[in-house]
Amino acid sequence: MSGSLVAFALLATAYFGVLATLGILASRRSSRSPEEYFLAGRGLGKVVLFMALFGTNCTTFVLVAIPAVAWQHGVGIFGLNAAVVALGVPLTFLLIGLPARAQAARLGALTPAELYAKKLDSKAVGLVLFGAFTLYTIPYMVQGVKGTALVMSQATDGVLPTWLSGLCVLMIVMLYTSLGGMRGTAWTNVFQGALFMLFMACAFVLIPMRMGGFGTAMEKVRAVDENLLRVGGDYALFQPTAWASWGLVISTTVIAFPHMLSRLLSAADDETTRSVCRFYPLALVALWIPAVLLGVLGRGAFPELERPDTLFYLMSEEFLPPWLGGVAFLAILSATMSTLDAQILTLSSMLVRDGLPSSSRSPRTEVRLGRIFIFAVAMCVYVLSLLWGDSLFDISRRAFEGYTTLVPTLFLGVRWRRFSASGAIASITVANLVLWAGWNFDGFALFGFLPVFWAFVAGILSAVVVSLTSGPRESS
Amino acid sequence: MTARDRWIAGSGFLLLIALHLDFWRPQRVVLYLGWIPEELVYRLCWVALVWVYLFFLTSRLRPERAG
Repeated sequence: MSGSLVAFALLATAYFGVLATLGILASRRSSRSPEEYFLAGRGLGKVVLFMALFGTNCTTFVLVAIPAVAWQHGVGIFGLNAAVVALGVPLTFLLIGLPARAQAARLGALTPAELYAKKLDSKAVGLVLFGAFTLYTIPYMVQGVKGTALVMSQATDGVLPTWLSGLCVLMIVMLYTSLGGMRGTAWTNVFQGALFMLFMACAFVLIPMRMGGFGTAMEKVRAVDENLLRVGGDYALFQPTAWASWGLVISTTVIAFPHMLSRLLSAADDETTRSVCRFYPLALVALWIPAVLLGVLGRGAFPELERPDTLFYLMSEEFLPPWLGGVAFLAILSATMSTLDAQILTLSSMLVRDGLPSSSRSPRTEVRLGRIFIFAVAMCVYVLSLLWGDSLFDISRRAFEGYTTLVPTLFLGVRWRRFSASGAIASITVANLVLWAGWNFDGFALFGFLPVFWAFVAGILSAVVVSLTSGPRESS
Repeated sequence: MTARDRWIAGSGFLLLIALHLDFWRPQRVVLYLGWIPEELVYRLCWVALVWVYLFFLTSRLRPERAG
C-alpha cells in the first residue's frame, strides 16, 4: 500500500471514528421515545438546526455535479441555481416550515406525512404523501451514493471499487443514524457541515493561486470560451422561460424534501427557525461561489474531459497539497453522508408512523422498528445505486421536479383553512400526472416553460377547485 | 403583519423576481478587479437584497396566522 493510501485510510478512519462517537453519545438520549428518536425531542437549537439543515441541503449535487455543470456552461449556473435558492429556501421555511412546526407539535405528528394526515383528518393524504416522498427521495439518495462511490474509488486509485465504496459509506451512515436518531444526525451534521465549508473556503483561495492567480486563471477560461463568463451558449435552461421554470423548481423543491421538513419540525421554537432563515443566504453564497468557480476555472485547466463529474477530484489532485486533497475526499463524504443520514432516518420514521397500520405499539417498539427500517432503506438504496446508469445531475433534476409537485399541498395544508383532503389528493395526483406526461411526451413545454411549471400550476388549480367544491373541513 | 408590511413584502418579492428574470440586461464579458465576471457581481448584489428582504420578513411574519 502506498504512503498516500495509508494517509487516506488514517484520515477516513479518524473521520468515521468521530461520527460513530457522536452517534453513541446521542444514543444515550435518543432511545427514550419516538419523539426523541425521530425529532430530537423537538429541541434543536439555532446552531445545530442551521448546520443540520444546511448540511442536509448540500449534497454531492453541489460539490460534484455543480462544478461539472459549471465546467460545461459557465458562471450562469450560479444565477440559475444558487441565487434564486437564497430567496426561495428561507422563504418556504418561513411560509411552510414555521406553521408546520407549530402545528406538528400541537397534533403530536412526528413526520411530514403524519402532520398533513392529522391536519386534514385523512389517512389517505398521509399515504399519498408518504408514497410521493419515497418515490422522489430514493433517486435522490441513489445520486448521493453514486457520487460518493465514484470519488472514493478515484481517491483510492481503484483499490476500493465503486461497489465497495458505496457499501462502506452506507454502513457508516447506518451505524450512527440508527444509534443516535435525529439528535445523532444533527450533531454529526455540525461536524460535517463545518468540514466541507472549511474545505471549500481553502480550495477557493488555493486553487486559483496555484493556477497563477485569479486573473490568469480567468483569462485561460476566456481563451477557451468567452461564453463561460456570462449567461450565454446554447444551454436549454438559459432560455428565459426555462430559466424561470427552473428557478421555480430549485427554489421551492427544498421544503418538499421530507428530510428537510422533518428537520424543521425538530426546531426548539419559532425564533430558531427565523434565525436559520436569516443566515441561510450567506452560507449558500459561501458554498456555491467556490463550487461554481471551481467548475469554471476547471475548464481553463482541463478544456477536454470525458466525464465532467470527475472534475472536483481532478482539481483537488492537481492543485491542492496532498493533505488537503485528502480533506477534499472527506468533504465529499461529509456532504453526502449529512444528507443520506437525514433521508434514511426520515424514510424509516415515515415507514413506522405512516406506512405501517396504526396499532398500539409501545414507544420502545417504535424506536426498534425505526432502527430496522434504517437498515432496510439503506440496503434498498445500495442495490439501486449499482443498477442506475444516469448522470448525477439528471437523477437529481428528476427528483427535484417531482418534489415541486408537492409544494401546493404543503403550503395550502398549513396556511389555508378551506383546504381539504380531497384537494390535497387531487393536487398531488394531477400535478404528478402532468409531470410524468411532460417527461414522456413531447408538446408539454408550452411557451417554452418546462413541464414542471405546468405541473405546479395544475397542482395549485386542482387543489383550489377541489377544496372549494368539496366544502369546508371541520375545524379540529 | 400589518397591511403596510404585507404591501412591502409583496412588492419586495415582485421586485426581486423581476431582477432575477433579468433578460433585459445585456450580457457582457467584463471582469471586475480583473477576475470577477459581471454576471457574478450582479447575482451577489441580488443576494444582498434578498438578505435585507429576509431580515424584514423574519421580523414581521408570525406563525399564528396559519390556517
